[in-house]
Amino acid sequence: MRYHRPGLDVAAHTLLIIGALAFMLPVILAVLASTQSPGTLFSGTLPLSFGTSGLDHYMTLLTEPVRGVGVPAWRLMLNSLLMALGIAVGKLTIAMLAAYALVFFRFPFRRCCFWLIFMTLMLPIEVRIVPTYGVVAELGLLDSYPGLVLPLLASATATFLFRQFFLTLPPELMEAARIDGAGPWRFFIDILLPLSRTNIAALFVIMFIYGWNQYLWPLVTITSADHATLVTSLKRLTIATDGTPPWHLATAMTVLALLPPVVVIILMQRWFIKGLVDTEK
Amino acid sequence: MATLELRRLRKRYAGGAEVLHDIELNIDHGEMIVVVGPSGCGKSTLLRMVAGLETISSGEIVINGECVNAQEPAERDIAMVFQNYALYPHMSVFDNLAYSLKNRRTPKDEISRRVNETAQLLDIAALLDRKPRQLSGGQRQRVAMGRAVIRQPQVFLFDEPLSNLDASLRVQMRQDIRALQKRLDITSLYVTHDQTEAMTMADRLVVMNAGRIEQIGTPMTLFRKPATRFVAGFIGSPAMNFLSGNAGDLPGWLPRVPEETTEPLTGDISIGIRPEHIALTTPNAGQIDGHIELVEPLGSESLVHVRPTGHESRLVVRHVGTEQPDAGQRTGLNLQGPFHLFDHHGQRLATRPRLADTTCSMEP
Repeated sequence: MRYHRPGLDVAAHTLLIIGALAFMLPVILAVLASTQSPGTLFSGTLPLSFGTSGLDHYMTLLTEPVRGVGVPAWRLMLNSLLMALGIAVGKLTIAMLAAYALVFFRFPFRRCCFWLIFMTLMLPIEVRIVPTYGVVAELGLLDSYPGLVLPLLASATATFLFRQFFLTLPPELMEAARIDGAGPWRFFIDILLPLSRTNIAALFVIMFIYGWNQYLWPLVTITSADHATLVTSLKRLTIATDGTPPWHLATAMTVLALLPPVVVIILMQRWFIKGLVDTEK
Repeated sequence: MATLELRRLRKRYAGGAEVLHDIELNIDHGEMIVVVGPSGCGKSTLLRMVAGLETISSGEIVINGECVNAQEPAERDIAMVFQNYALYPHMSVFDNLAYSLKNRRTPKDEISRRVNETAQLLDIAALLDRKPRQLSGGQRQRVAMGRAVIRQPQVFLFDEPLSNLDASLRVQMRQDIRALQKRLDITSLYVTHDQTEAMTMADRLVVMNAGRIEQIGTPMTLFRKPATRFVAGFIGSPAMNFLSGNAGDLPGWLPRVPEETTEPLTGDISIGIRPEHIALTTPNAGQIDGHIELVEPLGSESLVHVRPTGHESRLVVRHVGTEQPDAGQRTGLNLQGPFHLFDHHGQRLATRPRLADTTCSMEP
């Protein structure tokens, strides 16, 4: 909707710009700080321009073992990436299949199943961390990729969103597919999956960032440097056991931690727009 | 080419509600059977049971002599056209048509040959690359038809396929469907609530009411000799007029009705007369006079609603001609018959064969 009122335009843009700045400022400061020499950072004032170190700190992080962790940052990024992808893909797969069952199949206690899934929304990882740790330990999966991903796989939110989307599809679609000789899997793969494209893209972004930002669970379950994630390592880097924390490295690593989610958003954004432009149905 | 038989078919829902009672129907090779009835009469449920989309509580569905109760929809060799078409929104028209063949592992070149053939047949060859959302309602309808035709199934099932189209397109499409069905000679079961559609398309018509078949017959049989009061009221537009009363106490102005039946008239009966069998005449020249309450001009004819003097119910008269009487006027009514008599259960009472041009005398 568009109104021809210049005053409104100005006010709206002012608000938008303030909002954008509030979000961007910390990021800009982190980028600027990561290019300063350690000495400049310790002087107490942060210059609002690029420093002299350039990309040196990044090179240090990516090539040399990170202090307090023991492996270079690229390894940490890889671990985080594996965890985030595992969580995002796993969550989407499980949520879609669960929603598929809930919407398209008639089985006993269907509503009951739905409410049980829905209720797990009230139990985030923080609440169930002790029993979850116990289960993962029993399975012998502590300090491993599967142990990192598995407890975070089920998603009531995604199940719920897919369920709501599937409910909007006309039931005749499945009936037509049945008559056309498509079994349950064919229907899922040939019809539901392509129709859910935009939903999948949106949820993938959300779930990837959720996975990437995981802190508590990796902190508890991961003990070796080989499986350490970037976000938990960031904390270790800043623990100043001998003198001052290396802020120049910490800010650089923060920027590194920002990059993959940004890439995912930029890539998926094109899908959103595509989904919005040629609306199906 | 196939026959379709429904044997004592019943449908009961889990809650105990029985929506279909003992449906018996035999459909011949290449026959077009139209099932018509008001909404909620069970006609769609019946169709979906034949398709295999609804479970069967008891009874049998037999296609070509083989009971298909236990078969999946895809195994029954039927094709269905849905009311909302149910085209796959993300697939092109080509893929929509090809989907059932793909699932049956038809070779690629045969798929494209048959898709092109079907597209020619339905005049949608220019649309093969489009997505359903880029099509008009009529085009979507054709694609839905194409999806049914392409497999050359044993039986076509139509679930109110024209009700989402506008009036003129509906007339066009019903002719097209009829022509196509005759040309391909495929046994068809067509469900609709529109009695005009039913009359014009059917080889035989099945009128359903409250989960039961009221009557099966050719459209003209049902029109001329409705077996029940329900059929009489449902078939024909505008609907038949009904006068009810006790057989022993019929209004004197009704012309010789008791003499029309070969059965003794007792209890409450209904007398039906079609709007085209009543004529307007000058006051005092017919059997009874009345007030014109409403005139609905339709062009070449008008529907005139008349309230006979001293009666509750209105009679609708089909008045042919472009000149129309004024509302509020007094008029005479000439009830010419034939009359349809129904007992208090709504069953038709046998009537004497009518003598040609019997004139109705006015009661004293």
